[in-house]
Amino acid sequence: MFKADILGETLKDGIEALTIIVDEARVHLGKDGVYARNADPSYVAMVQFELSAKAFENYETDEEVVTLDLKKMQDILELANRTDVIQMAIDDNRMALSFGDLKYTIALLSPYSIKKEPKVPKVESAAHVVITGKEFRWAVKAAGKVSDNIALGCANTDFFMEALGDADTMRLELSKDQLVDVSRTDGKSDEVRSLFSLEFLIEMSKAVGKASEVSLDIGKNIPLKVGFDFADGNGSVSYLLAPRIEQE
Amino acid sequence: MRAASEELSRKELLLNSFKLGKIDKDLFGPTPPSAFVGRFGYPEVLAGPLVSPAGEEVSLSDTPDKWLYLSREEIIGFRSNLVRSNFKLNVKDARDPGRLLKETQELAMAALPVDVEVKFLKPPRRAIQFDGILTPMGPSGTVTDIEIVENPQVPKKVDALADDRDIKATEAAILLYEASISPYQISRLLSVGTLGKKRLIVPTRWSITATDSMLGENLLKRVRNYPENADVQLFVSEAYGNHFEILFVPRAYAFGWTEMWISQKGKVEIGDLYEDAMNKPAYMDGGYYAARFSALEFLERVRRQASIYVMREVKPTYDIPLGSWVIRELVKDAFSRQPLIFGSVTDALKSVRTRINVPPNTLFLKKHLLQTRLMQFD
Repeated sequence: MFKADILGETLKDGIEALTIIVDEARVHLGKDGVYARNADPSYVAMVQFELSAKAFENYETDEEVVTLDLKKMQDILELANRTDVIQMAIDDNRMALSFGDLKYTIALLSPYSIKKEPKVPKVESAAHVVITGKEFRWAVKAAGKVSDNIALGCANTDFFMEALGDADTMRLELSKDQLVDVSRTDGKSDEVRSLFSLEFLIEMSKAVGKASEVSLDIGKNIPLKVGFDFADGNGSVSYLLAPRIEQE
Repeated sequence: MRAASEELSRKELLLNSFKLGKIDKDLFGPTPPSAFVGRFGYPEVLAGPLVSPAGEEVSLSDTPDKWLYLSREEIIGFRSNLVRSNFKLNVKDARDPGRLLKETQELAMAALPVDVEVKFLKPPRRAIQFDGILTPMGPSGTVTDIEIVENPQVPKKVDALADDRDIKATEAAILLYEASISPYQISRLLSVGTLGKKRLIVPTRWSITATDSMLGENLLKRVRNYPENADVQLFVSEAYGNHFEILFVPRAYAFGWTEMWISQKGKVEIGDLYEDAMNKPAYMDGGYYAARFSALEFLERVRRQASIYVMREVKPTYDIPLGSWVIRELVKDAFSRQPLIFGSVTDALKSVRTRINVPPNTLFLKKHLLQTRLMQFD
């Protein structure tokens, strides 16, 4: 049994954050809130998602794990306003979604239909950078004009994003006073960088762009961690993205 | 290496290769066996057997799996000796074949050359055509009668499957392959409509690629269960101005294909396709499926899986295309020699780039070989 009421905005934003990585997700409906960890089918990217029970208007659960067809939910929720309160209920392998005068009942997916939860790789980053969501989204979009990949790095505490196309390049550099926050977690000052596929970052930046602040954990040829909060701090999303190998 | 013949100009090569004299209206002689189905006008197409004048040796003329060490003159020579007979039919005629189609089907089933008598409307004129997928094609003429004049020797398995009307064409093709019938013969049988439940005539060009794709898919079902290859291996082969670099990376099966066609003026045209557990190639490419089939045959033989990247450079000297068998057989040929072993994909690519110029951002490099996975960081 699961019964909850939630603001349309929170549910829409939460589902969008997940669908950037997966169309179907295994979701834990725990006592303190909702939790999910899912990787894309190629294991290049992963999302860790938490939404506290406090983000709900009303929240009751027997604690269960369900497999949701997120794409279908997203499609249905297009009809809901961001200010609507959405009533959710899960019972007998079906989920009811009600808002306004509408009531949808959709089937849950078989838990065997998707991969088991991925292990979270141990990543020791070299730098922690915080920038505004808007700025991150803008830089990723700018890189897309010249290339299909982008390097994120830090030289001392100067953060940079760099895209190298066949003939064209883009570079954005932000020093300490232009960033919300920056620190070297490895205590060093040398340049560290990793290269990433823009395909994933462009998608991620759509969800990230709404957040006031985004944290980026960067290192030398290691996965990038992109973290941000939503639902007035009651929800958090963190993406991990595996790097590309740079050719000499 | 066949350096001497590659220095001949296109014109010299054709003059040297072409042997057939004047062709009569009535032709009696052997078929290798061979039959051709055109694609123009589909579903109304032209089809018929390929026949040589009496006395010609044809046992090699339709078996590309035995051609790799022959010169271009030899190949063009015996292909130009085969006269193509054409009659018009609807692809659905395979369900109730008329006399001309019946004769064509019967000879196509044979394992060895068969003597045939063909009557043309007019004497066929000397000609030859070249194509990237099809083998070189000689003179052709509209036929009024075809008659097999000896008893064709048909392999038992071929006979049984041609009689079987309950089995799907794909399953029949797989059974033939498992009975060691050559893929070239399987494609011929498929083309003339002798296999399957709902029989259809299939243009030769399509049946070649369909056979590569079907047989490859069947091999892949097994290959996916094999352990991953141990090392990063690089296999190399080259003939007729076609250079192949074939990279095996120890990962789950995926297949990438990049071809670089270099024109006389040095311009490069690129073909770029790939497949993996989630993605299929963007379009049906004959070269892609020919290379994939040979690579999967090799993986099945060594009981391994791998991410495979086939890179093909076509030099300007390949000015007369010989057909997709060049790809199928050269990829196979590369596996007959010891591979180079590397510690990493980037090292292997560095070696590749000392011989051919592969672009840095091909689909397979981006999606697979140069993209890490999260589980590598445990």
